[in-house]
Amino acid sequence: MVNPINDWLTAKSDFPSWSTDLAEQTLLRHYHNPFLPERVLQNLVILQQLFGHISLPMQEWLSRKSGVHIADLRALISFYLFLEEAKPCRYHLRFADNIIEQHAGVNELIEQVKEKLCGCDCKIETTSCIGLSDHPVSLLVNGFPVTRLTADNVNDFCQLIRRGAPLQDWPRSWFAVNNLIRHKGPLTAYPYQAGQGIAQAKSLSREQIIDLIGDAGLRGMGGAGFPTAFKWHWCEQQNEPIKYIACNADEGEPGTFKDRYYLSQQTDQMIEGMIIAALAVGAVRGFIYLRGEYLYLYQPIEKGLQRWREQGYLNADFDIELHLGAGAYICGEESAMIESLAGKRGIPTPKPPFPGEKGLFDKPTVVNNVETFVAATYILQQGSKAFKSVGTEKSPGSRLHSVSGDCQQPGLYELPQGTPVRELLALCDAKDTLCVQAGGPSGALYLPHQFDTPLDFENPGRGGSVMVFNRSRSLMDITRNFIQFFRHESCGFCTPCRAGTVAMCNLLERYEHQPTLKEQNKSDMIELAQLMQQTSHCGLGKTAGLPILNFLNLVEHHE
Amino acid sequence: MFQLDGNPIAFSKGDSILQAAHKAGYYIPHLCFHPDFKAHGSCRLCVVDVKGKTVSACTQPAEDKLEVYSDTAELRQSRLRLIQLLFAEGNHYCPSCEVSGNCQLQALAYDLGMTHYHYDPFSPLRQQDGSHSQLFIDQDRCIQCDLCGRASQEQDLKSVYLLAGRGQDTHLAFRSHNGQLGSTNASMDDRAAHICPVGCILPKAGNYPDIAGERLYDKIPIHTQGNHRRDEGGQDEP
Amino acid sequence: MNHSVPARKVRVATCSLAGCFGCHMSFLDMDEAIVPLIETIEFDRSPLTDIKTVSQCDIGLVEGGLCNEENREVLHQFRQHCTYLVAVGACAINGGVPAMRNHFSLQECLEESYLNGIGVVDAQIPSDPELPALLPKVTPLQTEVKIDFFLPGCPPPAAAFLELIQAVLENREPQLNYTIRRFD
Repeated sequence: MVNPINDWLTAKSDFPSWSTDLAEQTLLRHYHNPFLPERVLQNLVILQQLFGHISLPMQEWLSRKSGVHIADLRALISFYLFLEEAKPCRYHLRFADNIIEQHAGVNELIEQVKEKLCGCDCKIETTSCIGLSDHPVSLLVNGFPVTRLTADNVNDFCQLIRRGAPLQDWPRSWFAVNNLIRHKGPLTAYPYQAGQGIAQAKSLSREQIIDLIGDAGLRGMGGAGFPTAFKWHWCEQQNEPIKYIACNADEGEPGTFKDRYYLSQQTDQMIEGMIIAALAVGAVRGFIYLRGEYLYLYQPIEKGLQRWREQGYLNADFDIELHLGAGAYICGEESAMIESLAGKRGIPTPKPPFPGEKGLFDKPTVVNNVETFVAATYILQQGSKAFKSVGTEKSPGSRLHSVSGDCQQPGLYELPQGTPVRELLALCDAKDTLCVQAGGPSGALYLPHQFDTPLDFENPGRGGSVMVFNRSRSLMDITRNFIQFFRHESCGFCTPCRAGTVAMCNLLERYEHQPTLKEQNKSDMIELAQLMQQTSHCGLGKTAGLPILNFLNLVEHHE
Repeated sequence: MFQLDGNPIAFSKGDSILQAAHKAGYYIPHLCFHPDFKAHGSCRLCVVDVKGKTVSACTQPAEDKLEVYSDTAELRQSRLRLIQLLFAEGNHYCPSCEVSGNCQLQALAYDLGMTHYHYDPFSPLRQQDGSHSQLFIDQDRCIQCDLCGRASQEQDLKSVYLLAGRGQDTHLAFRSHNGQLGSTNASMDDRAAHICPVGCILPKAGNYPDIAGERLYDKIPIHTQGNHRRDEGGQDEP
Repeated sequence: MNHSVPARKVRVATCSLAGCFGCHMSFLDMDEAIVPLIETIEFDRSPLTDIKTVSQCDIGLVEGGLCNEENREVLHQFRQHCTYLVAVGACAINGGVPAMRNHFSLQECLEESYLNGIGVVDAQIPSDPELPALLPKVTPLQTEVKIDFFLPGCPPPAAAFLELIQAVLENREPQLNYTIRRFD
């Protein structure tokens, strides 16, 4: 972590040929001790970005250097979507194909691009959500986001590739990500003073810090809504000299992009929140797990960390390391994230033990979402009263919502907890709304007669995203997209999720195409959704059947 | 002491519900659990109801005064569907399989009353491996239970087997440079070569030793004689 | 076996789709038990009767999975005409041995059989319009129609057939006990 400016992070379309010197220099510039076994996943991510793929000689070299068996490296490569053995093309296009992008016409654009780029040195694929649903159609080109591709500019886009323009020379406008907040609130618009929250925390005992967070009623903003103070308290109580703080910046729930805002605009509040948490529980090291889709935010965050290092807030007693994911939604699940941080495949581990007791490297670990740390900083700076002055009794405070889909003003809205769906729809200027999906595919579907439902932790769909669908949309398309997403993202560990997500896709197809067996297929789908909910190993499998239940519910409602 | 379907079960500290039940001679259906190795929790056949929640008995710690329900109509139905999913997602050709009659997956399916897959077969394309001189790998039958991986790591101290891939592509892999079993130091004498609950890891010679009717599970159901293999002598479970 | 003679004989149709007729052989393998059965059942379309089209029946026993368009047509006819449709044997239930071709594309299978296979003379892929078109994948019956009962096994033991017919006579669900619930 010496030099925050890293070659491997620059956008490029010409990949250097394999060189052990270049690889070693790059890794050494990144870490003092790059070849610890737990670093192999990060090393693979860096090699992938640097050389465009991970060839057999690279695997052999890394295996020799790290002592990790080459078969384990291959196991990692076969798990993480963004790691590839095949020789790279000059341009690797990964179109986001979540339902918002589909409604914005991604399929048609892909067809056009395929036709126009026939014979070019490029690879065209799809991936789940890349956190840019407010900028559709969006895609990653060699890892970097291109936004707002439309029928009007697709020609220009293809021209760049046809003439082989080096990616670093493309006009910046192609990569423009707009983080404008359409409705500000306490978290996004208070007079933040860097370090003041830490000073406040240092004047308090550990217990007092946790009490303050508890008094504010802060709950996990990732979507689970678990009381933050309880997590911190539990970790604090563990009689262990080594504890960790982990920041979950792997927002992968399709339609969610609120953390993108914090990671790029309020990095300091997030880092300060992590330092406060470290003070509260006595942690010695922190980790930020940044999703691979947010590669372009790596450098700004690393620079942010560097600032805090220069000011002495991050030091030998507590420093923060930035990790990159590599295209696996499941790594947003905290135990899978912990596995991934330790350099393994992102398979959720059984609970108990919970991370607060036995987390990263078997040490007590606090895992919180980006926004939770931002809110913790707010609470330390502005006080718990200020935080809970808005929101509801059980869900105090406010939160940022990612709004996308059929509305005039998609984007970011900070609203008090408990704001009814209807109010948000009015703010974003949504018309003729058929339904709203809150909290992504694993969240909840709200119909017009439910639009008075408050968006808070007491109601389902708590992940901070709202996808709006108008009456021209087909519920079948939405549902199919959601369950295909889960099939694609299942880690494959447990039977009900690994096989159930596939069986569910098959059943929905049957439901669609076999009118004579509709009733049977319907009851099979309901039963399977319940089975997955009941018996799955982790939250992904437990919620993967929800879109089907929502769908059938709505179909009945309409009939 | 905790209660399993009303029966008192004693346990030692650190026991899972399934371990304790197993020691006490009570059968909870399972496939990926083996008393000699660390729990995995992947097959989910051992799901039980505890405090209003369904959990895997092999990973859930036993606690004093816990009321655990295993033999309920609802759980039997869930287990039936789970085992049907396992059959549907692989390529299980029982009529020609070397371990038919001695297979734990098949035996548990019999015991759960399975007559058909219920779900459409996925017919996956899976890579086979015949590179080893004495062992054959038929991934069509693999249920991703990682028992071979655990046996190889914990007992053989070889770490030959591992799971790779993701989702539906999860598959058994082998720790060798070229990824083939034949290039590992796997041996017929390994515990891992004799742990597979299905017919994925097979000896190349000496298959079909028993005639139909005289195989392990032909007459006695798995809930009576437990999960074991014919080459283990059947002593590891009640 | 104590058969109560029904007012009307139970009408049974049978057929073999992508199967080997082994299940039919097993059905006939019930030895002397077949004698009282003659009192209670009669056959409609079946290879045993040589009746070519199925009419209204109580039980339809279908062996084999679906590998071509004719299989689908026959299956739908059976579904239309049979009160209880029974998937008989491994192939009907999960595709069985014929489904092993699902690991290859249909074109690969045809080329291997008719163009590149050992000893092929005058190599050509049959294309007579009389031949039913092959389906891209071999699938079990339940992918196409509702199945009421399943008799697993390769083949199901004769006792399983007896139990099925007995159950229908007694208007109850068939109970395949442990020893006759076989997958092989």
